[in-house]
Amino acid sequence: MEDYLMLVVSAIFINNILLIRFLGNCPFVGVSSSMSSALGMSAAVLFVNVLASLICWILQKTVLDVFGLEYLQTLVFILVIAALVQLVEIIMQKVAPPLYRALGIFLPLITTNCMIFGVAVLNIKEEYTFMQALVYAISTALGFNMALILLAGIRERMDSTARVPKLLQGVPICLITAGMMGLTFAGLLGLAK
Amino acid sequence: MAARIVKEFTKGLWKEIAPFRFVLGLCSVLAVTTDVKNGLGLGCAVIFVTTMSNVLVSALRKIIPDKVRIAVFIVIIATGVVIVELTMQAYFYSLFLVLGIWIPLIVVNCLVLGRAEAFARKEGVMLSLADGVGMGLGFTISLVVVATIREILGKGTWFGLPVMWEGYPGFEFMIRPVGAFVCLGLLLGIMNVISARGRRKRK
Amino acid sequence: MSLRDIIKMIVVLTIVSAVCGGGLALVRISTADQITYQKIKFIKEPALKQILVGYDNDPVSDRKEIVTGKDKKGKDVATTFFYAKKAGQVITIAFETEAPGFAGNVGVMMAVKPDGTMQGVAVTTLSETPGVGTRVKEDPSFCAQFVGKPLTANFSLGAEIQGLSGATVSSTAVSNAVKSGVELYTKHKSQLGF
Repeated sequence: MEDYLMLVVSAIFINNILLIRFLGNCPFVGVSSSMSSALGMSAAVLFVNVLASLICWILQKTVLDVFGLEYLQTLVFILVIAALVQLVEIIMQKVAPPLYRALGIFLPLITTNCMIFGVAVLNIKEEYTFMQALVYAISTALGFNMALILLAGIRERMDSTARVPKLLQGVPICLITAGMMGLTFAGLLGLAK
Repeated sequence: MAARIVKEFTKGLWKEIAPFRFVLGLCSVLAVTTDVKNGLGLGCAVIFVTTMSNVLVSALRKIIPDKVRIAVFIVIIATGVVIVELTMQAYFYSLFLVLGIWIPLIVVNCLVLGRAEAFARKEGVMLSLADGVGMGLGFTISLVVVATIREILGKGTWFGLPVMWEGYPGFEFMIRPVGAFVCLGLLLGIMNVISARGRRKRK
Repeated sequence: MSLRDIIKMIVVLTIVSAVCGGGLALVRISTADQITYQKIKFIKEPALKQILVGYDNDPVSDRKEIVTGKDKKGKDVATTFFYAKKAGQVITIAFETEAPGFAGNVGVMMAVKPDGTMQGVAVTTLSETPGVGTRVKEDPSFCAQFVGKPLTANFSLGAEIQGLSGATVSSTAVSNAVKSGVELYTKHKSQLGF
């Protein structure tokens, strides 16, 4: 039990997937300009991340490892993720139209979100068990969501109240803010491995 | 035709240099730039993958059905990435260990898919080749620039060779994740100023 | 969408995937040897360099795998033997053995000369208590005790070998690993080809 707790704390705070491990930065910059899209992206990422890493984990253990095809890992995983995103889009459109209207536009963006692919690969690289992979996928997604929502909050506030120098407007200030957030997270180093 | 090829090649180096202008492929720019060697290594891998995917996509552009094009692009790109993975493992094993997960992650680098979708799908093979090499080279240049700043300030070395005065303590901030964000942010700011000045001059 | 389009889609996807898969398999086959070589070189070479002297070949290339036992599931377990040569003549054979230590197994790379004397011993992997058990690796005088002894010597602690005080468990692990290595070497000597 303690191990899982460590895994969660480490994935969310200490090795935050966005700020410390640098995975998933493209949507991070693009989507964080408004709170509502940040929330939508968060939900979509949580959903796809968990599903994708579990399917990839199962495929790796039952197909790739068994037939000695480990070198095809990259190819298989990215195809699974791309197909999964399409599938989720279609199913969501049919089964839950309101949810689709809220999250739909974020789904295609997720295919090239390197975090989903990265977590799937990390699960295998760190030799996690199925349960650990599940916990890790959930916690990395939560870590991503937390950083994204925090940054969106800061950016909204900054746009309305702060006078940002002209040369730093837009992406530059967003990156610098993210860096400062990373600094606070780095303060948690040593809490666990 | 030759002029067009040169134009498509050079646009990737400054005018449309991907990470700085379009904020594409940021993750790896931030992650592997703690030293120049790693930046250059990943850059070369990206040049290979963009060039290969651009050429193949362009050669196959007439027979790929529109509906499944993304899937075909992904298969082609992933193939390129696996080739890089295997070759690097066989001949540059220590670099492979350092870059680790970032090699397979080229497959989700928006730059590669972006070029296939926005350029190679519509243009001829020669032009796509020029575009792929140019864009990949531009990406490499960005990596090397960021890595140069971070390595010199953070460790006092460049390409592993000491460049600062003796006893330089090393500004550790720069090789930490924070340094990556701040450094890239400031660089983008400087790029903004230079472009704005260039535009004013032209007017 | 007409049936024709659908068929075309499927055909193109299949052909592209098949060609890519075939290409990758080719690349895989042509790089496989080189990759194993690199991996072994990266992990074993530091220890090999420590104990082998006076060779002019690349022991990582001149290696030979011999089946030396079976694991719990009944699968064959192979040990890799590294040949150090001078002017084509084998001067030393090195291989790795292990024995349980205080925390996990202790790996030992040992080198044997054809005349049956010990050329050298180096600790490769260990996860012992830092500053205590790790001294078997850090203190060169400990491993030096094995050098030049005939394989028939008694490598138990207290006999020919003196354990490091305070690190008895780790010292015993190294000595056990060497003893099992000697046993393995004597058993498979005929297969090694010198």
